[in-house]
Amino acid sequence: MTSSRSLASSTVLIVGCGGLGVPAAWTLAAAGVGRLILCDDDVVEISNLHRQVLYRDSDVAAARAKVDALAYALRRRFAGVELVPVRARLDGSGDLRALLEGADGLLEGTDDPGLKFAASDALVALRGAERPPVGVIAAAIGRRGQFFGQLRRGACFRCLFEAPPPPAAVASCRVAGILGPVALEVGALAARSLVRLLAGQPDAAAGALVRLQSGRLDRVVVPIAADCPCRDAGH
Amino acid sequence: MAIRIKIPTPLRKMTAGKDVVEVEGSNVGDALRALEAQHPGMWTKIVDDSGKVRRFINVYAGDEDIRFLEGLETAVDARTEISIIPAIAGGV
Amino acid sequence: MSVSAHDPAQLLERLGRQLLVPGVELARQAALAARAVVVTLGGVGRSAGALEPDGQPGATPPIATAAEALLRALAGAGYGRLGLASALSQPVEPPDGAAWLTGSDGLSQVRTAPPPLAHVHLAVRPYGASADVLITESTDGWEEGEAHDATVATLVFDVGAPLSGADAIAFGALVARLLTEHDLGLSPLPASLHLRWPEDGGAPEVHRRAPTEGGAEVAPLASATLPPGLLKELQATPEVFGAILDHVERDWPDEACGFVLRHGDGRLEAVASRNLQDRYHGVDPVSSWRTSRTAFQLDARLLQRRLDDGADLAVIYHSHCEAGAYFSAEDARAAAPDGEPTHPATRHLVVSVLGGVAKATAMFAFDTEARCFAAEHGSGTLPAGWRRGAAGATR
Repeated sequence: MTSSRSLASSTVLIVGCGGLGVPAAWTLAAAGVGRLILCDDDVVEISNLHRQVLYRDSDVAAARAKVDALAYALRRRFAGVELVPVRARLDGSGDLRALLEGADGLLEGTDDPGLKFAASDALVALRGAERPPVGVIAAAIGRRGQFFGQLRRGACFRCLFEAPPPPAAVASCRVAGILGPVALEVGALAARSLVRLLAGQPDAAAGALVRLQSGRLDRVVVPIAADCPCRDAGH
Repeated sequence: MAIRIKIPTPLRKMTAGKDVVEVEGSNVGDALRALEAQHPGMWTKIVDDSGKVRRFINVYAGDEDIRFLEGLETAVDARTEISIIPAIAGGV
Repeated sequence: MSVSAHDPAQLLERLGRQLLVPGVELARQAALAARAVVVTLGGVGRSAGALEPDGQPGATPPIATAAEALLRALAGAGYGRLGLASALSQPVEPPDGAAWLTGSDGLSQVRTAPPPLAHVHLAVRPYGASADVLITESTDGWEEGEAHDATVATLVFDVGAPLSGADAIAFGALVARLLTEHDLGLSPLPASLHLRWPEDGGAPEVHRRAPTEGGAEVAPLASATLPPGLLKELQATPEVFGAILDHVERDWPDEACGFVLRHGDGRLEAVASRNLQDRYHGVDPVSSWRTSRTAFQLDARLLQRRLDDGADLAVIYHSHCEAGAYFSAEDARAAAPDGEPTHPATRHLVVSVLGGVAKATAMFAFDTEARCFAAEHGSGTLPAGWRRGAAGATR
């Protein structure tokens, strides 16, 4: 890949080191991204192992923090990547924006809808920065998954969904379940798209939602919503 | 300008047993349409609904499969023999 | 606290989130624990360059990363026995929760693993599709089952460029998902699947193909009714039969093809052809979506020139790599596109090549009464005198 040199000097913030974050971080490291900031506040539990496949039984036994276990697993496989574990639960777009400053890319893969909007808001807020970051916001449940690529201009996550759903309406993988390989595939595909966006290559997820449903992949181009605050941001 | 088209054994029942048919045309597609005019039904044996040469049929202009040339647009003249040859293919 | 993969309570806890997915049955999930999956890697030889990592000396090649993602996903999903055999010396850390079949000498434990056993072969290609996958299913174990191996699925992963590190985990995960959804009874494996992810950023396309689409039917090997004939004669003609086995072993892991002529004096002659499949795939990867890994296209001009010399076409031969010696639906479609054989007087020899060694041969002909291809008696094995080992021909 011609862009491997610039990827090697890129930094990506990964928010959520679970079912999507693990394959995403693995993919970004395999693609040659130079620096990964891993952010999560959980420890590895036995019920994570079916889908968060870089964690080991010994991580469960030691109640190791996910960010440390993931950094260890990636360091063993990719000696060249710099790993920055941040064990914290992010709250609101302010925290996220602070971590994102100076990064080139953001991969959001938590099961918290609020954080998806916070991630989008932080990307929009940094559109005026010298080197605005790009991001991919991913979700998966059951046998379905989707991810949205948010560019330096064009539609944001709020153009797609107006606001987070009420907490009671949210089914998370803790209660609704997820087929392990589905999480792995969606997380890896989301990160693959982020690599392409970072390299300035065209990608199916650029300003669009890519969905995996019933074994099929499709793509919905997202227009900028007329009343979305992102209209006034940046340039 | 007469172009010679070699007909494979399985299709000779449509050409009254002839193994070579002479037609007019300046490219492979025109020659095959002229073949169809002389022996109706030949075109659909060779070309599918989307206008591509059928999956297990190879059409050669001289020594090369037209898939590696300009397809049905491949130019031919009297020195070029067109051969229709069933593919010998398969796979696991 | 220590974790044991074999404690039922912990297994339930480990797989609990997966069991909540609608349609996933507990019994099916439990059956995965007895399932064995062996992964092999290909793309060696001409496409060896694609096995190299993306400009990172010492880093893991993409295909090995894909294999690790596949194996870890399967272990996570509850598969009980897993193995990886590869010409690469890249070690893959065995995943927790599954028995690791790969011994210090490679596959010795796989050979004795009882079925059900699936063999997943991942290969990177020099051009066209980025990688392809062949899944074969063995009901009789690894060694004895050659004649009964059935190809379950052929998958093509096509991102318009050689498989890169950015693609590897998604590719491995895709294969894991398809296999898991199949084994859990959620969604059958397609006989073939072509995933094309356009490089220009267009929408991804998934083409699934049904097992049969036109062409002649294939009779199962067990119903072979043709009397012993050409196969026996061929096996009794060492210079011809040996030349065929040498050819298909030399071209592994690509399929090899050729033909056997019968001259006026009754003498048989084996003629090796080039396999032109990659060339066809190169100009039209959508119509000719298979590569030479899983398909062959014989040089028809070579055949025609030799037939013009006056000989008869007795046999068309080709190999199946990492698959059994059976007449596939694809073979039947090609040999009889309209249900009528193109060369009615010609027989078809299929050679199974596993790990570069010819393991079984079978001879097929069109049975004009049954209107399908059937195997000659004696098909499916190699006679003792022809048995070949890793050290080369033992004859």
